[in-house]
Amino acid sequence: MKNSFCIVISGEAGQGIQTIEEFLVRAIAKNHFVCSSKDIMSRIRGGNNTTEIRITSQQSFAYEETIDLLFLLNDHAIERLWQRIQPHTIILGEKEFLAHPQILKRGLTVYPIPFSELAKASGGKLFENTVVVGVLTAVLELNIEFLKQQLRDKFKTKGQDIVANNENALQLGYTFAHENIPSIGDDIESPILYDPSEYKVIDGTEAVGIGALAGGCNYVASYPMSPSTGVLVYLSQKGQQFDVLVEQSEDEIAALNMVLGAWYAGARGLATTSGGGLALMQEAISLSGMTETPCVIHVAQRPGPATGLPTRTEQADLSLVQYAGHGEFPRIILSPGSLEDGVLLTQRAFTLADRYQVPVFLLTDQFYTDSLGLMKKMTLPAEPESFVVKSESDYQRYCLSEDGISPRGIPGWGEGFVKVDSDEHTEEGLITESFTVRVAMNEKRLKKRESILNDYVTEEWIGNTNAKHIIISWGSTYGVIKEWLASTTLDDVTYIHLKQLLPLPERLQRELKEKTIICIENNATGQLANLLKVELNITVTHRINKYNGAPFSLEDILQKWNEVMQ
Amino acid sequence: MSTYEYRNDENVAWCPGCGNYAIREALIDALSKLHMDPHQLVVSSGIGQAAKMPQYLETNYFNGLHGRALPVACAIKSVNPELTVIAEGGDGDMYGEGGNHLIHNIRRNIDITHIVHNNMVYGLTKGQASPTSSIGFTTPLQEQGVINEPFNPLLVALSLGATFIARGFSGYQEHLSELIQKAILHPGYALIDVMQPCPSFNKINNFAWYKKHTYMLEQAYKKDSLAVAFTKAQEHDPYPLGILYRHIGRPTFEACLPIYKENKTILIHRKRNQKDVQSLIDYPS
Repeated sequence: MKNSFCIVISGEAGQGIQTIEEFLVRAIAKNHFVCSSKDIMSRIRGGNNTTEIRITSQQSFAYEETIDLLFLLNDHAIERLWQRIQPHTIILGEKEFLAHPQILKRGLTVYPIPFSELAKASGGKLFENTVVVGVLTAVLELNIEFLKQQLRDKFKTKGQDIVANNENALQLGYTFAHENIPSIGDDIESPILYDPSEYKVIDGTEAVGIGALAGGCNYVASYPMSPSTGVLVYLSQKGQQFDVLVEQSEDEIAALNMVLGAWYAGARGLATTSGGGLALMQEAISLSGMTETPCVIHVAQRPGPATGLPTRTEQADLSLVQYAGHGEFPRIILSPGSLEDGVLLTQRAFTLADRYQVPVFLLTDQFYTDSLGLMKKMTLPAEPESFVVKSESDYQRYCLSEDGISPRGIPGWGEGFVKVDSDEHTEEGLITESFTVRVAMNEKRLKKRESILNDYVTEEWIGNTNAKHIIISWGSTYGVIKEWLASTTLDDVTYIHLKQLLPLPERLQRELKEKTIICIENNATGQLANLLKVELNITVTHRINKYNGAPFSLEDILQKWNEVMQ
Repeated sequence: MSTYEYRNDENVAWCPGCGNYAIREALIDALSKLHMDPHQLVVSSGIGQAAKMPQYLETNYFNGLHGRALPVACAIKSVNPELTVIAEGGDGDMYGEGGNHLIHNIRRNIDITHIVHNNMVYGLTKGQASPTSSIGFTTPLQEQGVINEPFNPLLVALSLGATFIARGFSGYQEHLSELIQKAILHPGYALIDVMQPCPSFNKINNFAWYKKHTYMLEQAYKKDSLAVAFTKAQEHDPYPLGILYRHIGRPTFEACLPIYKENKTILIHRKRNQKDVQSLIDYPS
């Protein structure tokens, strides 16, 4: 019996692997903790894509390399997956896929499944993926009635025939597996005290989307770019129900300028993009800083530079976001690790943007946005607070104040005029070249950093605060590090997950004095380690980095930890 | 009601003799004649001497980035359609740096008035060619003369389906005021290309040149013919002045937005029901 059971489905784009993943994860979640992640090629048809579904004994949001059960939907995956196949790995697939010389040589356990024939019998090639779901339903001992209901819900708009054929395909796959393949249900450890009603199956994209709605987001302008587009689509599909105006802009430059226009006029705008799009938004980020017009930007990172690896994952845009935009102005950077964080931090991003009138960045990545997991259900804080004021006749948009924050009015509400300028400006909002005013306004803007720190999103500590070794990470590495730590007996190690990356409180510097600090980051240069040095003069002792486009696996962390600690 | 007349104009950044002064007079005249409440107006502008216009008006404004007045204007109008929105700037700002936004906001048919000061030269950067400079126009940067075909904004706008296209001249202030009034009243995107002299950097296309090389469209001109408008928009010596094309009936961007299809309440007056958001989490997985 293992702590987790890892199923990998390998096929090509267009074979419906994502549908298999969704059905199975929801069905598994009825009895077990589960999470899943994708490895996708940047193409519409063909290639080789895999989905990994992990059944775990604890809530998990992490990637594992070792495959327990491999389902082959085509024959060109073996080379790519070879490192992940172990002597115990069970392989299912069409008979000819299993005749690969490597499989034969290693004497692996294989079960041939005539899934294209079964699909044909149920209506055609289109239903292959449902046959696969049927097979795995039997092998994993899942509730077939629940899956039938899922099929009906998903395909009801496509007509009776499609529903009937899908149900047929499910049943054929199920029956075949039942008769020909031994169940592996016993190999999966049942979680103790697992109540499925306390959890929701959700991916990172949806977590960010729900968080945005909870934060009062009612305007989105963006240009599609993987892996950030999901949030745009999610909010568009919820647009009617929640009154969200969604516009696909002509480019990212327009997107962020639109978002600023929306905030200026009283809405709560979001731009969702990836590194390349963010690079195009930089001038508007600076405009947000100068005009003190709030904005929220979701940056779903993927490997760069330039087009990089469009469908894969990396955490290499922290430095970009840290310095994005010319000139000097405060900003807030948040980054969720768990799915719960995704909802709460995104919601928070809108309140912080409104309160402090600065750009707020929400950094996720492809692994985070595209991975499914179980989120512990929570009660949202009631109404998002609004900081917009009704203007008096003597209203001045940039009136100087103790904390640098000037009450923000909107055009058409009140007796005053809302004058906003990207040039250096007076309190009224008029262009000025006065040195005195320039200094006063520069200081006013920069002063907001201190107030923002009063609202600092506290980092999460896991372990004993007195430990000598401190692991620090940010973003989506949270799940894998937490799960790895739970599986070890190391007692002199504490893990800190930073949820707010800028600004950072000086307290951290004191707390990390004389510690051995290890930064684990999904990038090549250690961008958080660099940020900690620049911001707080904290010296990171060891950097553990991964930058091949894949997320950290449990195996990676173990191996790299051992290398560093030797 | 305020008069749009800004109370302190001692520090105007425009050169003496600049066409911007006359355009400002025409704009204020148009807004006053329409009895437009300045609190319900927003002027969105970019960078350049023309884009400084809202500085010298008593109203709301968003003076943003070079070339980006249109996306800002589009967002303001769509989150609060009750506001009157004018996007204003120069030929470099709107036709050069902001070219992509010009294309796509015409396609959107957002209900805004787009006033472009066109003096066929860059002023604030001190005298380089603009997208509308004539072939052969010499500058310190284009010493051998401009080699690119001048951008024809009216023809481009027509081809993209714009429903209000006009050309004015800063020298005919009253006429320009009428164009602006009609553009503001037009339901949908309205473009006014305003010819103006730049006494500092364009010695060719000066006041006298515009007078000589333009003519007024006659009273009987049929504004509603797309075919005629395409011909008129291609005339360049002399350039026709007036409304070249006007078509009423094409729905505006705001009217087509799903959020306004059934519910006319402006976006910022709607309240999010947090219970509905909570149900997204509570809904059985």
